[in-house]
Amino acid sequence: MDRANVLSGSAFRASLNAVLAVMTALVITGVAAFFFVQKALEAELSRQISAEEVMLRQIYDDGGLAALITTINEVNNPATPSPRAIGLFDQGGVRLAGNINALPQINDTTRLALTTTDRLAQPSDYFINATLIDKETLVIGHDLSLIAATERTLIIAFSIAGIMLTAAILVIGYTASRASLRKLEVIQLTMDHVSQGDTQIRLPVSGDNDQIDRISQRINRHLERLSTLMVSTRTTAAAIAHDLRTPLSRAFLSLQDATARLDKGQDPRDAIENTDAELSRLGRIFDAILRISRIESLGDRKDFVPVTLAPMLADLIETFAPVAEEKGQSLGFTAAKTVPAVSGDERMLRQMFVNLIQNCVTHCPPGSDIAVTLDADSIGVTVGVSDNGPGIPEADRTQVFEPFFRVDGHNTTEGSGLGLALVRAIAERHGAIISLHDNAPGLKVVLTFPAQTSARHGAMAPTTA
Amino acid sequence: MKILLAEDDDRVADFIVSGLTEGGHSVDRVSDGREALTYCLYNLADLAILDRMMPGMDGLSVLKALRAARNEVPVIFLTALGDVEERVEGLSAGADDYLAKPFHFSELLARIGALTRRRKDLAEVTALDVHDLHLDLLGRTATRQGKVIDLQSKEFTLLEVLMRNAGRVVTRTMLLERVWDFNFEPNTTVVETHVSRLRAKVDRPFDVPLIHTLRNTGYTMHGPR
Repeated sequence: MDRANVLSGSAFRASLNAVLAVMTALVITGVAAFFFVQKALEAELSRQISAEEVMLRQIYDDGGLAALITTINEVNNPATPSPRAIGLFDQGGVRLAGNINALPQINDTTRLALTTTDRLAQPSDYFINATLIDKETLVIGHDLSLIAATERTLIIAFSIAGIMLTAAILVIGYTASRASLRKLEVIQLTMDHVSQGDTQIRLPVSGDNDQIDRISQRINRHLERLSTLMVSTRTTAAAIAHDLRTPLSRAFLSLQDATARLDKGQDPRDAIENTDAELSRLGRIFDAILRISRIESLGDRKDFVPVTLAPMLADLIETFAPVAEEKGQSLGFTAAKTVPAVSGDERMLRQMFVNLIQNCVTHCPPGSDIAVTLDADSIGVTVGVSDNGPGIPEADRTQVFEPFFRVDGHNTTEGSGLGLALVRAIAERHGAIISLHDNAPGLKVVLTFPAQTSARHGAMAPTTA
Repeated sequence: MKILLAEDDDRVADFIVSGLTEGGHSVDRVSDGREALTYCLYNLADLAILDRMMPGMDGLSVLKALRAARNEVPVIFLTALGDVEERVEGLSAGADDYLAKPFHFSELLARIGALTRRRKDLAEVTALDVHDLHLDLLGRTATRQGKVIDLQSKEFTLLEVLMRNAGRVVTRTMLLERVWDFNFEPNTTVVETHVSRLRAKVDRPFDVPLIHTLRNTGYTMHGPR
């Protein structure tokens, strides 16, 4: 695995940002804590010093200078070094008692470096306060080493916390980035296989259920659909080739027949006309295939207009009633009084109804009754086309909408096998639901157009009932 | 009649040119969209037959450019782009007719005939007469030899289309387009059935037949010749 890829992964980059944010927060809280602790300790020292001053002043008030000097010398035992510095100086700055070597130049509480008699070697930091007792100056100080130690501890603690956090975040980021990269590489590899034509391969989905896993699941669903589509495309392509071969071979035969007749000095006109008819049939199959794929690939429905179905259906009934009559069938139409318009493309809808009506006329024997109905309810507008002909076996009902499907025993009948496929394509484009029912006997096709308000909610798959 | 043919396929072009020349037309052929546009702008043609997919400039753009230049030469598209949307696109761009490839030559000839005739009598007609058959377009009644013929609305429209093209060929496809607004081939005998019903009402009770079938082509209406 390429480290550069891991380091450029989004998880690692996010962790870098996290480090930056954590460090900033840490520095801010560190600085605040430092000053807060410092102030608190200084206040405590200052309070102690004040208390000592009050006590010493009391001694002075009670016993005079001599008592004060004695007390200071007692308190300040050179044998036991203490963090305290104390000094009593007269007006001339001469030390009267205590361990502070020289009177420092101060007039209030402050920090200062002092040398004391018990720590001659180095001047060290003291927190001191000077006050006048009569004419003498009393200086009391406290060693700052405790505060300094506390401050050092604080800085060390915060630094360690910073280093640990940074390391932890970077490790987590690197690991996460590495894990995602590994998954992404698997996806990439899988997609390479897919593009090379392997439709069976699927992405592994780990139990983490992270974003990549969810995307993988989605990609898998798409792959599933893709492979179904590829299979159906292959089947359709095979069906197209097969169905085109029949008229093509008949055309060839007729042409050869025409040549043979010419050789014999006969009139080849009939044979040529047969060729013409077969080629026209081929052309119609091509047209239907193109129309279906065109309708299926059309995107938006911006060219849809409100279409009132009643006059359109009445017109088609007038057109096809004589055709049905010629075959000894009857074709009737009943419409509800008020049927709202459906949103659609008038030409497409007309072709869809023509196909449905022709389907009945073509497949029903003489004496059959064909009925077209138009109704409306709260769900939508319903068109029913029913007959009492041979019907379609229940097992075949989902398949009749597939291109080139023919109900057994109908292989020789007229039609391209594309009529109902076109009906389905047009219905889906209009968001209409097609269902096939047993008319006992016969077939009833029911088309339900959604009510106008929900007309844009997309197409529904055809169902059988 | 002087016809411009814009078609880039040589075999198709040769076939059309020889067919039209045989029919007594004078045909000039170009194989490029730009040439077609230039030709129409500088020559007076009676009709232009345009392919849609041509090198240089597509037929639709040629037509749009012609119409933009207020050139009103009648245009027939003859193209492999035969889908409903493409047909609508072509007709709304100002084409006078639209014929999809593959086509029968008789279909093209019939459309040329109908088109030149339609162009000639643009004036609104209110009645049509063929021999002793009279069609009142306003009252929507048909009378022959003084007898009123009872027609259903589709039958009336069918008769009207045939009579408007009296003496000319009207093909099955033209009838499907103009009477039923079908831009597809139905797999039933819609046209044949309706023509035969119309005949039963218009011709059979009378001595002289007016509706004539042209085998493999279509129909024509005319009185005794």
